[in-house]
Amino acid sequence: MDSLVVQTGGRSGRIAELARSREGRLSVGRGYGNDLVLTDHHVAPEQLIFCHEGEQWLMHVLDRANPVLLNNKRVRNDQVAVSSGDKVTVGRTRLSLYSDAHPVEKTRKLVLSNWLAMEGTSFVLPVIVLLGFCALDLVLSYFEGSTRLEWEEYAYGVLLSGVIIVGWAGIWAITGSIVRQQQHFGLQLIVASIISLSATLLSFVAAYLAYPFHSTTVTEIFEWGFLFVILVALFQLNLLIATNIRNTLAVAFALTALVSGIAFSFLHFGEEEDAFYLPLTSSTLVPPAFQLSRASTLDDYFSRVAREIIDSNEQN
Amino acid sequence: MKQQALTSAAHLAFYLKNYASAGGRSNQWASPIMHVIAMPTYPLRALFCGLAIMLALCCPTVAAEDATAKEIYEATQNLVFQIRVIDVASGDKYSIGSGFLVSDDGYLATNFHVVASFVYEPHKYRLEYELKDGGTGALSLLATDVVNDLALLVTGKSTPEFLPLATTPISKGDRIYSMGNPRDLGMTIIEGTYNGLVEESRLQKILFSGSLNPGMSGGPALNARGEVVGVNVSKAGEQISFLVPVSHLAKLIKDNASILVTRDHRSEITAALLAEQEMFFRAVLDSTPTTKPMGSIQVPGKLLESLNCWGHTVDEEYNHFQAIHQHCKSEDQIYVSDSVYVGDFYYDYELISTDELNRFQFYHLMESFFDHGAFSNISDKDLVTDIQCYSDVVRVNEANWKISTCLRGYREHEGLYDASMAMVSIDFNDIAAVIKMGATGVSAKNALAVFKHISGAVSWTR
Repeated sequence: MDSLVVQTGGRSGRIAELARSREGRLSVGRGYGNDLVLTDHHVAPEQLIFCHEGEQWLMHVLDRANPVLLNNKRVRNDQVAVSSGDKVTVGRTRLSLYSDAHPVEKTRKLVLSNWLAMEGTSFVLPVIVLLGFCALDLVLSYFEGSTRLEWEEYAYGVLLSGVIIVGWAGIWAITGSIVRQQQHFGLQLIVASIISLSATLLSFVAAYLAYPFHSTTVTEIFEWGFLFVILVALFQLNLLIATNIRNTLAVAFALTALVSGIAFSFLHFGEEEDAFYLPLTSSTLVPPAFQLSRASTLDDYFSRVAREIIDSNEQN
Repeated sequence: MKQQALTSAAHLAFYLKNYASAGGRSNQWASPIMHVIAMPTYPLRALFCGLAIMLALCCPTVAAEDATAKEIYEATQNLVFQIRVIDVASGDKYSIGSGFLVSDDGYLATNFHVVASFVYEPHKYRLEYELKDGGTGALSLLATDVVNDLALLVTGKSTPEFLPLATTPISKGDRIYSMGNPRDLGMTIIEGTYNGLVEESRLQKILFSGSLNPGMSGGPALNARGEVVGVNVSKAGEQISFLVPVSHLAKLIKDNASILVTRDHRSEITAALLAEQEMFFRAVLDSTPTTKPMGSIQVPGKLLESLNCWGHTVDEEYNHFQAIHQHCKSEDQIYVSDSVYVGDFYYDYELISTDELNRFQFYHLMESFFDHGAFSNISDKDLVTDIQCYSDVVRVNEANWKISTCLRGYREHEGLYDASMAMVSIDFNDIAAVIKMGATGVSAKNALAVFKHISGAVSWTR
């Protein structure tokens, strides 16, 4: 006969409270004479008894002051058969029932194990990475885009980026301390800095990739595509460090979709109103080095304008 | 309706009243009397004519320019009405303007914009006039001239008195008198000066150095003989007002003299706008672009005399680039409705160069210049289709340009579009030209033809 194990409190990183049946019996309640004592005022002093009878375990409900749920369904009989993996809700407490032979999850490979061991060693590396990002962002932005040749306006922008990165790392450090009781602030800071640097570089790539195509759609696709990939990577690393979520990629993907959707809506909010009177076209030009395809003639161009815009307009 | 016959009775009455008010000294109405004489087919009028001639011959002469505003007001006050657009649901006035009798058939002239709300929503509004003595009557819409902002209304009652239209030219500096009902404050006369036709203007309009005010729209502007020389239409500032020349009113009356049937005014408005833009842009396209240098590029100069051209240079040190800017534009807009104005036309050149910015910074700068101007002539998005644009790299006179063209169509005026084009040279890393042009209320064919006409004449000289 397998023993019955009743588990309460299953947060990862913490030791769960377990009670194992003795001689085919296990009692649950608020009273101190029970095998599993629950400090829940919504649970009766003698609430449940699990008994092994025949080839099965039965759950006897001793008190009905509050409903007892088995796998989220109310138990209406005084006794009911239970099996390994069932969930019982009593009062505000949730119990998991397992037999000795209940299969357990395959051992997970510890990702970032070396990095996770860095906790508390030093802030020097994270700070260097952060400052490196800020410096590179400043230089790239200035030489690529400063038409007023003013370092100062870019310095403020980079400073703001640095503050946002620190804040982001802080939020995930707090999350880690709650979920896993480990902050890993330095590691979160390194991750946020490196990802931000990648975003900066990819935004330049997106801008210059648009040149050969000189298309609004291509620019948008690259910008949003890169942003999406960057955000998925960021969220996945944040989740890996701060939580014990099994499928971090799926969660990161979902979070990115949510954030991107909100950002897209926010950025394009009111654009429809503007689009009524303001032509919104790509401002991307095509520098000499990127003029890969042959240019149209004026006649060809205006023929295509007539075909693409006027003909379609008249059809509508 | 007979233009010459219109004038007789009113002129006589006008003369007689002014004669009386002038204490029997005046013969300044010689010209109106001549009109009366020219109408021998009416026995009663001929009798009055004879009387008037006698009075004119026997009385001391006073120069026409000596007529005072008071005299003109007293003689014409009963011929100038307040035009009201009445909201049918509330029964109260929605908008007001002025109008005046122009025929013995009871035809009233006013501005199109005074009655436009009725034209577009006849189920929601009706037209009404109010006389100086408070009497009111219903009005019907006979014809419109949206381009010149005129409308012809009908009272349905014949009248012995009306204002004659001037047939002789007026000279710059002549005194003219504008009448109307400003801000519903009562009939008013304003004395001002005729300053000729506005030279740089797509539409003909008289520059009246007097102060028109809201509510006077559609009122007459009279010469010292009490003849209509123009119709109040708009103002542009202190003592800068505009009148529609009387010739347009005469044509509208002539073209619609015998027509009094139910008409589709909307389609007539569309047809008039299409015809006007066709005439204007045909003139632009017929012009041979005379190019002139602007730094390192050759650009077309002033394509029509009616366009107004300006230029300036930007060379502030903090910009790290230099810019030469020229633009030409038509100063006129045509009122179509409270939500729609058309008639804009502009082209704009900007040459930007730098010796401080690197090529990345320069292209970043040029991208900030490459955009379209906003279409601000229509305030109701339901009246137009979505803006559609097409961009490409185009080779023009041995140089590469990025060109973007955008159009939106009018839903209620088929065939009319707002159009905009922007082009930027992309061959050099330290100098570039940005050329923008646009037109509102234009046919697509004309818009593209004019854009091609201008852009095809641009070339580099470096």
